[in-house]
Amino acid sequence: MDGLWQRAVVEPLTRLWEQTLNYLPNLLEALVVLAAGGLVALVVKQIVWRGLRAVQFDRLAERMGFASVLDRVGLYRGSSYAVAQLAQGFLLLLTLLLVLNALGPSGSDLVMRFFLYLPNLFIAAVILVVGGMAAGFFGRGALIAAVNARLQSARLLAGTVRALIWMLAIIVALEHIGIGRTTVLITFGVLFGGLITALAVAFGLAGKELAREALEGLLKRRTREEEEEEGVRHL
Amino acid sequence: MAEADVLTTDAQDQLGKLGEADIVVGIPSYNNARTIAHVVRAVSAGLAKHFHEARSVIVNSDGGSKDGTQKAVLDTPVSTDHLLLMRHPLQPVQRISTSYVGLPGKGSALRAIFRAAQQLKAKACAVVDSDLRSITPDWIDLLVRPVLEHDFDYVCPYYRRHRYDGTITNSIVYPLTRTLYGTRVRQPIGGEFGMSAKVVDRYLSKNVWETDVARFGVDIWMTTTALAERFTVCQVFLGAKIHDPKDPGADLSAMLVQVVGSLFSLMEEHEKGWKSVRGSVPAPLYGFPYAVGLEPVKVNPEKMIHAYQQGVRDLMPVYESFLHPEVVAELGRLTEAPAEKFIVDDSLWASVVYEYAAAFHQRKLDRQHLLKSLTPLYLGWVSSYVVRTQADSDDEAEQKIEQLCLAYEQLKGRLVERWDSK
Repeated sequence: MDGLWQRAVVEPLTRLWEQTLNYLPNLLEALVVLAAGGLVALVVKQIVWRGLRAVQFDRLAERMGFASVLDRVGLYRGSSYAVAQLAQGFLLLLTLLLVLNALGPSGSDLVMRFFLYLPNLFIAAVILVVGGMAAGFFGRGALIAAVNARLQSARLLAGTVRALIWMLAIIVALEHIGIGRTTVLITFGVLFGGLITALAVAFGLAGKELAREALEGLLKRRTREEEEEEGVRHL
Repeated sequence: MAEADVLTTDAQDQLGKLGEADIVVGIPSYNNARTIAHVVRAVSAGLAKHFHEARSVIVNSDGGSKDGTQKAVLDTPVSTDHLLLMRHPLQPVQRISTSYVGLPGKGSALRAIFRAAQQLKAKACAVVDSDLRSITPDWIDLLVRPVLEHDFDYVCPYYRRHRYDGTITNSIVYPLTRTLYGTRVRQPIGGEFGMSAKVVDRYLSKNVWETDVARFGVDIWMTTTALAERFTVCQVFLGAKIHDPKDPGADLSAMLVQVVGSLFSLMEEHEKGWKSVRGSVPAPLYGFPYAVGLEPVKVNPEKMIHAYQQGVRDLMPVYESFLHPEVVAELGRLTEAPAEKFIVDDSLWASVVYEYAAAFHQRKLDRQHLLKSLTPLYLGWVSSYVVRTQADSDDEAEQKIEQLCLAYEQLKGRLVERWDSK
C-alpha cells in the first residue's frame, strides 16, 4: 500500500514540484519584465503626449488631414494622444514579446516570427493613414469643385471619390499584410469592373442623351450667354 | 534672374540706341492685334499733345503673340496733323516692341517694361492695357502729370463703372485694401497705372517675379506695395473703361483664388504695417469727374441665390471647420430666406472675409480648397447687393458700398484677433 501511494501520488507531485521550481526563475523573469515594460510604456506615453502637445502637433495634424482620419475611426482625444497611445501600445507589444522570450524556446520562436512580420504591419498602417488623408483631401476637393460647378449631386460625387480612395487603401493594406490576397483583389476587380461596365452600358445605351448633356455640362465652359443671364461682371 | 536677363538682347540694343527718356508708356500684350493699334495711336497722341517737349518711348511687352500684335504696334501710323495741336512734339515718340522673358503673365510683361524704364532713366512710367477701346489721349496726361509735376509716386485709375461691374472689387478688394492700409483707392486693380522712377526701382528690387505675382497678381501687388510702403498715391478720373471682354469661360472660383489669394498673401507680407492702421482717408482725386452713359445690365439674382443656398448646404462641414460658429449659423439661416428678403448684412460679409483671411494665414485647410469654397458665399453677397440696389440711383448704390467699407473698418479689431488666434 505504501509503495502504491509513493509511486502514484508522492513521486508525481515531487516531479511536478521540481519542474515548477526549475521553471520558477523563468516565470519570475517574465513577471518582472511585464511589470517593468508596463511602467516604461506608461511613462513613454506621457512623455510623447506632453512633448507633442508642446510642439502643437495637433494643429499640424489637423492641417494635414490626419486629425479627420482619427475622427473617422473614433479616436476623438486628439492626434497627440493617438500617437502617444500608439507608442504605448508598441512598447506593451514589445514587452509581451520579451515575456514570451523569457518563458522559453517556443516563445523565442514566436518572437522571431513576429519581428519579421512587423514591417508589413507598419507599412499597412501607414498605407491606411495616407489613404485616409488622401480620401479626405480629394473628397473635399471634389465636393467644392462640384458645388462651384452647380452640380446637384455634389455630395454624392464627393462621397464616391472618398469611398473609392478608402477602398483602394484598404485593399492595398490588406494585400500588404497578406490577408486574403487573391480574394480581395478579385473582389475589388469584379466590383470596380462591374461598376464601370454598368456605367458604360447605361450611358451608351439607355442614357445617351443624358450622358451627352452631363458631359457637356461638365466639360463645356460657361458661355457668355450664361454669364449674361446673371448680368454681373466679376472683374 | 539677373536684371539684365529680363529683356531680350534685341530689346537691350534698341534701348541702348535710344539712350535716355523722360516718359515711358508700357503696353503689355498677348494676341491683341485687333485693338492695340487704337491704344498705340491714343498713347502717341497723348504724348504729343501733353508732353511735346519730353522724350517719350512706347514699350510694348508681348507674351509671344501669334496674331501679329507686335507688327501692329510697330506699323501703326501715327500722325498728329488731325489733332489740332498748338505745339508739335520736338521729338517723335519712339516705339519698341519686345517679347518678355519669364513666366507667362502680365507680371512678367510689366517687369520688362519697368526694366526698360529703368534703363532709359525715365522720370515717369505709365502702363495701359492693350485692349482698351475707351482710351483717349488725355489718359496719358492724367496718368503721367501727377508724377512729373505733383510728386506723386503712384497713380491709380478711377473709372465710372456700372454698379454690377467689378463685384469682386466692390465686395472684397476695395473694402479690404482700404481697411488694411488706410487709403481709399476705389479701383485698386484697375489695370492702368502711373508711377515714378522711385516706385519702378522698388518694384524691380522685389523678389516676386517667379511667383504668382508674375502670372496674375501683379495689379493688386503693385497697389498694395505702393500703399503699404507709404508711397504717395493719388487717383485720376478716366471716365468709363471699355475693353474687350475677358475670356467668358474664365472660372469664377479661379478668379477668386487668384485675386483673393494674392490679397491674403500680401497681408502676410505686410502684417506689421496693416495691423496698427485704423480708419482711412481718401487718396486725392484728379481729373474732371463727369457722368458717363453706361450700358444697362439685366441681372438675374435668383440663380446666384440658388447657387448660394445649395453651396452653403453642401459645404457646411467645410465651413464649420474654420468659420466662427456664429458666422456659420448666420450663413445657414440665410439659406431659408426668400429671394426678396435675401440680405447679406454688411457686418456678416466683413466677418466672412476676415475669417477667410485668418484661416488662410493659419492654413486651417488647403489654401486652394479654402479660397474656392468662398465662391457660393461671394455669389450670396452679389445677389444680396443686387436685391438691395435694384431700385437705387447710382449714388445710392455707391453709398451702400461705402457702408460696407465702414463695416469692414469697424470690425478690423476682429480681423486682428482672428489673425493672431491659435
